[in-house]
Amino acid sequence: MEKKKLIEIANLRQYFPVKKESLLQKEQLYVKANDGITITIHEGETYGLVGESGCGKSTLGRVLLQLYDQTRGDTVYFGRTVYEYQPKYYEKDLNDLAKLHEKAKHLESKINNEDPNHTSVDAYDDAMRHLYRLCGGLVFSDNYSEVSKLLLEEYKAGCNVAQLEKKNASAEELKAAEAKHDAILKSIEQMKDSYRSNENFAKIDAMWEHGIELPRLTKEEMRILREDLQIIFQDPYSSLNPRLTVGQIISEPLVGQKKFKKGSKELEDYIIEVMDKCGLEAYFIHRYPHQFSGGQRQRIGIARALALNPKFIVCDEAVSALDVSIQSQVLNLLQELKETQNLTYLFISHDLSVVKYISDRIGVMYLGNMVESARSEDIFRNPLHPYTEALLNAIPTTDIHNKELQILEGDIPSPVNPPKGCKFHTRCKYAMEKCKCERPEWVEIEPEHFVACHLRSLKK
Amino acid sequence: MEKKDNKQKQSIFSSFGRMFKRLFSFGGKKKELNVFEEEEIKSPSKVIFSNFIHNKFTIIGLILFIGIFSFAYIGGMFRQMDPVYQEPILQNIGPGTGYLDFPSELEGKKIVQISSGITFSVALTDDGKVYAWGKDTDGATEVPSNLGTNVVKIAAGDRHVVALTDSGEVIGWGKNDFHQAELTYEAKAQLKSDEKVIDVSASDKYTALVTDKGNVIILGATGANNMDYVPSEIQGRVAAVDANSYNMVLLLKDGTIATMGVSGNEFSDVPKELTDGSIKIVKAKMSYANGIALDDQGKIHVWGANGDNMRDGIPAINEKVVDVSGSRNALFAVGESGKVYAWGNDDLNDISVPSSATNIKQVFSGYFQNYAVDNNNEIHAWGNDGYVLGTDAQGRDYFTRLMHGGRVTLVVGIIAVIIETVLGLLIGMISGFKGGKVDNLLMRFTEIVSSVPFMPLVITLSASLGNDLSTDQKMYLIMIILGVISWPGMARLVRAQILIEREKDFVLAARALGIKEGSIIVRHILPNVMNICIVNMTLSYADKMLMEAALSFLGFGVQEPMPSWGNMLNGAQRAIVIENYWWQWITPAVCVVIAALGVNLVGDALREALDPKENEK
Amino acid sequence: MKLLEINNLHTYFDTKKGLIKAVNGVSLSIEEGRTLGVVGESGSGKSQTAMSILKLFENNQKIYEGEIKFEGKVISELSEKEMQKIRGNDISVIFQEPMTSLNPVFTVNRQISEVLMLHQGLNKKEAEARSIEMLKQVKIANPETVNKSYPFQLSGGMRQRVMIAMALACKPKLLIADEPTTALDVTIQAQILKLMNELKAETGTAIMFITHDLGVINQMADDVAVMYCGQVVETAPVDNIFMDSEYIHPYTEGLLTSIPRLNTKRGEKLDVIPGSVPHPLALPQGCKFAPRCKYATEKCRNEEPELKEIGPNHQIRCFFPVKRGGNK
Repeated sequence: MEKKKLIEIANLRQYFPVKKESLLQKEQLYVKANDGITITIHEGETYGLVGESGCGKSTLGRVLLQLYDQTRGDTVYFGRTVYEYQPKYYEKDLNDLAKLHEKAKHLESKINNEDPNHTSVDAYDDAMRHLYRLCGGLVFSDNYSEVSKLLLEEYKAGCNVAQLEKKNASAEELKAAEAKHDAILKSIEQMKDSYRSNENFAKIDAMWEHGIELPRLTKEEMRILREDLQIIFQDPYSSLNPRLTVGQIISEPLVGQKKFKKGSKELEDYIIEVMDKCGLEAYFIHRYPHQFSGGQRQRIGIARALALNPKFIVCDEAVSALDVSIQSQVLNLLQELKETQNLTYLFISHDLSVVKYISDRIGVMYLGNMVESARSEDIFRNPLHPYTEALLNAIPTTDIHNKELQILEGDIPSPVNPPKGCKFHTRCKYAMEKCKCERPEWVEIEPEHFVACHLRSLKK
Repeated sequence: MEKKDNKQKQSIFSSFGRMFKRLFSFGGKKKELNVFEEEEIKSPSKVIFSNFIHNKFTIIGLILFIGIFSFAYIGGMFRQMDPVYQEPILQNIGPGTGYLDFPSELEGKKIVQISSGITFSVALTDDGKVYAWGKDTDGATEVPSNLGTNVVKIAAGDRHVVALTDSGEVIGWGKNDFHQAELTYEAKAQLKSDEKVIDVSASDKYTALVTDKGNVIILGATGANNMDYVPSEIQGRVAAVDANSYNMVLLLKDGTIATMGVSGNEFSDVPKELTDGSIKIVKAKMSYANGIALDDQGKIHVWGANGDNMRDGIPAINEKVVDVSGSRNALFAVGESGKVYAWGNDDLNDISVPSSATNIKQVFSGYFQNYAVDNNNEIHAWGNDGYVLGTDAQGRDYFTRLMHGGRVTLVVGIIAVIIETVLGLLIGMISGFKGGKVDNLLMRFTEIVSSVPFMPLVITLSASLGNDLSTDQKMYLIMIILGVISWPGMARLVRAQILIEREKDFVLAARALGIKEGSIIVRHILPNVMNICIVNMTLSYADKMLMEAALSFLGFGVQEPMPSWGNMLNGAQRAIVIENYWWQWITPAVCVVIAALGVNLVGDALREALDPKENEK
Repeated sequence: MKLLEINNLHTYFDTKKGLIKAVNGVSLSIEEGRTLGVVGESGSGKSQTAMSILKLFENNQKIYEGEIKFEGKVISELSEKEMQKIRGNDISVIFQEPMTSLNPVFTVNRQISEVLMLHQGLNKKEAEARSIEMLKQVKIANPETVNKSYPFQLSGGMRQRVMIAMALACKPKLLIADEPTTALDVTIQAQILKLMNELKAETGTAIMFITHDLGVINQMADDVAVMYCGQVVETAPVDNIFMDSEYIHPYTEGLLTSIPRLNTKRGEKLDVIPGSVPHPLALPQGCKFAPRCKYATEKCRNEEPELKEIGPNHQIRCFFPVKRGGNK
């Protein structure tokens, strides 16, 4: 069965500027927390993210929710279509297709003429991907004004359908609208026909998916969309405002998103329902966070995130700060909620065994890069990246017959000034000359098993 | 009955005890909550409050501050102050009251005469005995033991007393630095061999004697008042005298009035009918600048200056007057019915005749003390009873000034702190929330302001701007300067706190929940900033108070005659004050210390209570 | 031979709200040259037990009962001055957070030398030479450079190595390691654990290793003490705990089964220990673990079990020890 995409990240970069040490320092340095990450998260799955501290896994979780302004790359959310949500940027960009195309051309020429560096290549890639998402296969057209017109028409028709659906309009009305939309779609397909011969057509046209590009939303649009995208924090102490009661904490987003009226009976009933789901007693509602233990606090954090009925939750080290005996309680709860609420998780943790237990797929990060991503069984059965292998062997287990830990020598390099080439080469026992100068590609070795390592690319 | 009450009290007490126990006991009975559960019901603000209120420093601080605050405010309401009032003769009088507390031995005795000095009084009874009361540092209240029982007249000057015996002997005591309390050799020389002193009156540093031959003899120093010069047309005609600081009123044997002393003032301009013999005067008395004469028809005649409406504001007297008298600032008349009429200045309660004073036959008034004797020989006293904390160099009541000075100091502090907080909060918030260039700019500005040397600037500002300003305006100027100069600390604190709070996970969480920026600021950031603000405000308040005091002490703050604790301390700059007039510098210093200590203790306790670490365990 | 012996130790905090019994009758011993792993959740009193050995107390904390014997000598009664001679010399300690336990304003050299000069009476030069030697011993690649650096110039793993070098500088007989790897990344943790094992083999220093991670215990410890609510609930050789012994304490069982391990099936429900650690001011009657124990009986709730021997070197504080694997 084809899994439905929920979130797609492409070449995501998040750089944080480092404060200049002196006025004389000309070059602005950056902490490259995420340095070109591409992953796809499917609906209903749990994607685990592991890595050591400073590898950028938490940053990735937050950038994904647009809690930081992402530096570069795409974050596309497929939980709602552009027809349903109608973000401002979409219509505007459809209007300006020609301009966007010109801009991309300009960037291309820049790469070809001047010496190509990462930033300009990335900028060009970003611009092109945006174009593909807007017009799919029609990107090969010469007449952009026509394309623009047609796509706008299609978009409006699509919006109309979505609106009628939302309003629960009569079947005939809906049918008429759909028919109109289909007609336009058909003419688009016809228009595409002339470009199908192009070798990249299939790949590019597949990107015409009508997901929402999160970084292009306005602040207010993003704020409203947050009801779909939630986060659970690591520290159950600092992530709850000590001045608010449990009821206030959970009701705040509900009132903020105008789901309920402040102080209404329905709101209270709903809060108690959510609390019950998360294993919190109803009489806790007027208590303050400091009156709870760590595990219960984490339940409050979960209830708060869950109250908005999100589709996607980032669990940022959600159990790491908890005691062993509490961890399992919270893990069980998360697992249960996922099943009953049909949630999708991005589960971030440094604890491989926890990640393995909860995740369908796992991504391993090192110094801002994804080094390996695969189904959770595969990654443990057949780790392809040397770093994954080292990580697996460094975990102390309770198996008394296996007391020898394999040691990965050396320290994690600074993310401000990461090693050139493969960032892991300084600690890798298989490092070759090539690793020191060339960045490894992100390749799919087996189905759904990606790795970025020269060693594996060679073998392939 | 009492026992029962006791029991009830006990039961109330024990129920409180039980409540208390319940609060702090573990486990206990089934339904009782243990400490942990009890704790759970409390909200953070309640925990903070209870931590705050259960801190003994809070209690001490609050008691100190509320005490000093109500002293200044509530006390000040009861004691009005006229900042420009002065009474030089009362300057630098030490603390003490009871000027009017005449001895109980006088009760029932027939009073012949009462005479008052500035802080004491003496009385003469019909058995020739002399009694003294009140306060005096020069021994005026110590009646010499060798004084017989043959005294016929007494007179109290400012700080001395002169008594006259039936044999005409003059005996004085008290302050005698100008020989005002003794019949000097020179004075004796003026007396003829068979001449006898029959009347005496005393005032500032001098004594006037009248002999049976109608002559006036002056003892002591009258300075430039011209009083030792007795005009020749008067000499030999005088029957009685009433002396005051600058003038004397003389009743001549022919029933007319004459004056002596400083001439050319309104007092020396005696109405003609009193001097030409058309009216026969039987008694003449005077206040500081007014004369009052009683004629044989029982009518009174008043002349002199019209300050406090003394000349023209005579109450309607529809009866025969039997006695007249004048204290320093008021005049009195006694009607036939025994009613006392009083008019003049009431700053020292001179005309506040007690309502119990009925059937009066005679009124005796000295400087500021007045006594009325009724038909039963009972004495009714009013006037200045003394000063709890003495007086200052202008003769103003120090206690009153301390209260009003406190008002000024406390208000200056409050206003300055409010200005500081408003500015600091505003700039700190803009800086903290906006960030970037605005933040950078504001912080550099803050640094500039805070690097301005504070004291020199204030002194210069105050000195250059202050000249054209009234005392009130100057007070406001000080408030504004103090507030405007001291905001950088607050601004930095607020900014830092905002930066800390902004980075907290729960703020990020709120953002992730799609809560609007404005309500994140209001609900999640500002409450924590306000805490810091409040603590800083209390601590800074104490600071401002001290600063005001320091400035005023140096003479650049609140200006005389407006009192503030700072400028009241001003006197401490002079050695003579430090040595002799301790109350003039110790009391404001103590007040400043108590207020600052109280506020600081409360601020510290508040900070402790608001510290989350303190509440964790 | 027993190097350290703790008998019925009670260390309490005297707070406004009552006595917090952080250490509530702990008895354990460490053999010479062996590693005792102390494991427990937060608030179980494992760190406070260690602090009691060194008498590194807060103002409101003191030993109310019990004694601590080091090399046969009672050290729980010693004065502060006498304790200072023992600390860092006979018994040294490394903490969880290497950044806060190193003084940020002094170089590594100065901090290591200080200990050496104080306890061993070395002069400055000798101390510096010895300091570099120590850094070499903890496998720091460039000891001369590190010796001159300030703590902030070093990475977390490096700092922990420096801490270990400092702790071992005076060749102590006992090293107390209080969660030394908790703040470190897995790969760095593995390095440090290996280093400590090697150093132990070299120097013969006994180690008291405190952690909440059973995996780390398996790597490090020869013997294990499991703590709960200020008491030792089980003590045994490490293999007994993880594998060999037939009976174990229900709490130990809970710890072992509740954490997901690499071989735990995905989606399978984890065993949980229900509830949470009781508040130190509201400890339950009877067995402290009874409210959370699925095997608890009336007896457990009313009576407090004693630590009793159930096998060689294996003691359990439970009326009804659980049979491993069965009993479910």
